[in-house]
Amino acid sequence: MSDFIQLLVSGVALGCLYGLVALSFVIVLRATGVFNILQGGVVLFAPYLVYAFHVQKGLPFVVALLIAIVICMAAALLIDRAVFRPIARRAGGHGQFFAVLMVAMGLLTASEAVVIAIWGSQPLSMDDPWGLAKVSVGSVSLTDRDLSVIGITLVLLAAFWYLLQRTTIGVAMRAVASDQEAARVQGINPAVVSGVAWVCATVAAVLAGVMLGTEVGGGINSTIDQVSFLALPALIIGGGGSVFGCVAGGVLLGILQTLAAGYAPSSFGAGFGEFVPWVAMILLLVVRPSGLFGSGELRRA
Amino acid sequence: MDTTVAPVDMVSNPPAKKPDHDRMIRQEMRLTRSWWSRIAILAYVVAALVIPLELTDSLWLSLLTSGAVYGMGALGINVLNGYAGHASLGQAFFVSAGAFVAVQTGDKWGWPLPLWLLAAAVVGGALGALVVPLAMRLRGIYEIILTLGLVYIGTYIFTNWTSLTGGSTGVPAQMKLSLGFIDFGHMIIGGELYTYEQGVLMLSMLLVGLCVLIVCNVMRSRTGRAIVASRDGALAVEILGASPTRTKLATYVMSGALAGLCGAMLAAQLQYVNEDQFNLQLSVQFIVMMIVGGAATAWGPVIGALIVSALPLYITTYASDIPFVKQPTDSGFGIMPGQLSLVVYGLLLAVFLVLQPSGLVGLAKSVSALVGRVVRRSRSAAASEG
Amino acid sequence: MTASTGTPLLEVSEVGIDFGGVRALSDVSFTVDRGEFFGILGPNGAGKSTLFNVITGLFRPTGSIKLDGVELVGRKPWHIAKFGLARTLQNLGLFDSLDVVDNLLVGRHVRIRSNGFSDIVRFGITHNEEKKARRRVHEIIDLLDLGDYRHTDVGSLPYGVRKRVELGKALAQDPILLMLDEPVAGMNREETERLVHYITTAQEELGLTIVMIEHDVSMVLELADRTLALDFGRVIGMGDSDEIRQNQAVIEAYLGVQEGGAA
Repeated sequence: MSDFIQLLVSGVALGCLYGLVALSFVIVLRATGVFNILQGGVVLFAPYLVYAFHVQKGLPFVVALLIAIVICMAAALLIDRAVFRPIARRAGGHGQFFAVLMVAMGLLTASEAVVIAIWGSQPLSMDDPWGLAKVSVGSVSLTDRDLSVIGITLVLLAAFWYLLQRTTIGVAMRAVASDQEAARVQGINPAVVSGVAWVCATVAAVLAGVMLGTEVGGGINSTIDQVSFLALPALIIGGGGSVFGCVAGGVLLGILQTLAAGYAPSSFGAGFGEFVPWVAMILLLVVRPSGLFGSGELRRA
Repeated sequence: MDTTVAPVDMVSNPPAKKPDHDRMIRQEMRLTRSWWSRIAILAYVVAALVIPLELTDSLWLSLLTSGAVYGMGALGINVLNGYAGHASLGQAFFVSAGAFVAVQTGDKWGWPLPLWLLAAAVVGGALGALVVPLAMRLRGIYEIILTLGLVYIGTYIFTNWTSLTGGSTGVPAQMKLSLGFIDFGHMIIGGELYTYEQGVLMLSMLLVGLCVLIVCNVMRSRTGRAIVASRDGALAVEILGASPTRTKLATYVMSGALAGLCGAMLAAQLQYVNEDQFNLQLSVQFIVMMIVGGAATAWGPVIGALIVSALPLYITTYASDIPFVKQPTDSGFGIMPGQLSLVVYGLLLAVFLVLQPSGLVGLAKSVSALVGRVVRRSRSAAASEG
Repeated sequence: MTASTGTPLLEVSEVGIDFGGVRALSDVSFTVDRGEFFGILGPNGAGKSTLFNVITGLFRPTGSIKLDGVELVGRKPWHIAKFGLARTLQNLGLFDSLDVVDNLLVGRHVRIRSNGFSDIVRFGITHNEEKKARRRVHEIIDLLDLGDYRHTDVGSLPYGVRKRVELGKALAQDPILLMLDEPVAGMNREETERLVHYITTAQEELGLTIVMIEHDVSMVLELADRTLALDFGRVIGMGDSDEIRQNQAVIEAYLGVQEGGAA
């Protein structure tokens, strides 16, 4: 039983990270109408940046984190304006979303190469404040890290919820998400909204990336962005219609994956844990294409 | 512009057809629209037969073979995305299936060449058909994520199906390449023995040429028209009598079959298959090939495949001359040659999508149109002066 | 043009359909005879396009719709097209990236015999069928005076020409029943007269039965043998043009606002 709870908590923590990544995709999608996978690159670079500033330069962890956030935000905004806007304009209509996606994939592949070029291909350790610390509740032993991940995610979600529901810019974002033309007519500046969306999305992605990189034994490696791809089934399972849906989908996936990996007999072979989310996604798509909590809004993309 | 139309029932008693119609129809129905194309096709057939026999440099042999083999996979994604407009990152999955089917039927079961090639195509097509019910319910990003899932599912299945795939060590692939009295793997023509690589090149070039022909033919038929028209108006096509299911089936089956052939020939070329060849990067590469060469064109994907295959070879050969590139043994900042290819693919995609979305074929067409205009203008200028 | 007697080509019986609580059509019944020009009138929202959509299989109603004795309700649109029903779309179902010939060829889809194998090989069946189909398409292009635009991409054509291509696409099907959904909407007088000329010419040449929805009341009453008038999804009148002109309910439906009546 204690095994189960440990796995469950780990699964929830992992799921929180998937949820954050999914969130970062969805926020940009709903604010700009275009699905952009560039946040995967942020997920990749963020832990490396924190490594550079915290481990290599000796700055405190939180400071390094903040610097990483700022750098990633600036880079994401820059790349969006300089690269993706022209492409979307050029391609126009149907083709634009595919063009954006393809270019983003190209950039992601390139960033993996750049990361290896700068930091080498060996996995690195982030020297995070949680380390291997554990908390014991009865016979169950949970890692500080997992609990922190869940906690940080909850705080971030609360912040987003507050932003979307209680602030003017949040209302503007929701308006744009539901009908871009109408929002524009109302005087809402789509550039501002998309800017805020990118900022929020980047924060979520940076945190997810950094926390993914804190895995025991040196979790920073050049394939972190591939891990972020697992957020995509989370997006579909959750339906992508809301902040809650993303994270719920992610958590569900994380639990599925961890339990599957933990309980699968060895005859199922390697990689069963990562395999299950995709199968679950396909099964769900057959039965309920709009996702568990979705309103089918993703279909528009 | 008032034409008096004779009050005759045109269906059962057609009036003498204007001579224009038949000529127009013949022109429209031609496979090739210009003298250049006809010459080029002839040249290709000759090249496919002659070049492999004359070429001995193994780098070039490998390059051209890769271009032809990957070209088939790129043709597949061209049908699915270039013509039909379905976004897909899953091509690598269908290619891997074809490769392993080829190994199983061609090597382990010893089937003859036409049969193991056919098996790979059939399995690829069947898998494509299986995806259709799912794909029919999904649009846009959903469809893409679904196809991405195929790649990962395929990876898991093939990594663990060790009896078929040899797991992470891969499996050797020694298929027979004999067709009738020709053994491509062991060609003896006029008393001379030619190498396996040369034989494989000839087989690949002939096969890819055949594939291009088949795709062209299908695209010119009512099925192909329905496929392309569905992009502009799926509902309109349906009320004209084309079942959307059948249209999608045709698309996915063709794309899957072409991918299957690609996988089979890949196995034949390398004589070895390892499941880690078939990943997301490969799927993206097919898309790069299609876009660089020219989406929705006959030869574009093959040309793109040639270029994309050439890139890593070019980079490794000239690595020391390219800035920012380092050898595996160097330390310090620098991109590994293998990785540089990936970076370049990304850049190629971006550049072509923004600047030249119709690819190299489109560029060639624009240039030849421009040249044609210039020539005509100078001719008419000369005529008016003379 | 007098309609022929015999079994009606189209029999619509007690057709009804709901959309989210709104009864878009209720108890609609009428027949269309072979060779007839049948008009459908009604103010905005009366259910005219819904009726078309229901007949062509986009939505499934209650009741029965028979084309030449074959029940259409419950069949998919592409299946219904095979029975000889052709329809133009109000918003034009044209394929902008294809030229006029190809657009009409897509229209010819149901009349081209083919199977997968011969598509690939291209000899035999497919080759001959393609030739026959193209001949027919070029005839229709000539019939509609679209010769100048034969190989022009449809996306770049002016509105009036596009409307004609839409008509041509439907004619290419060689249908037994042609349904026109507001074919002259958005056209000026001259363009309207031209298109009407093509429609009537096509009907004479090809012996078509036509059902037409239009807003232009006088145009419909002039062209149609009989007309159906709808309002709020119900039949409020049916008969030949004189009967419709004098039908009180129809007059009110169109002029309701001025009469101060129900609008």
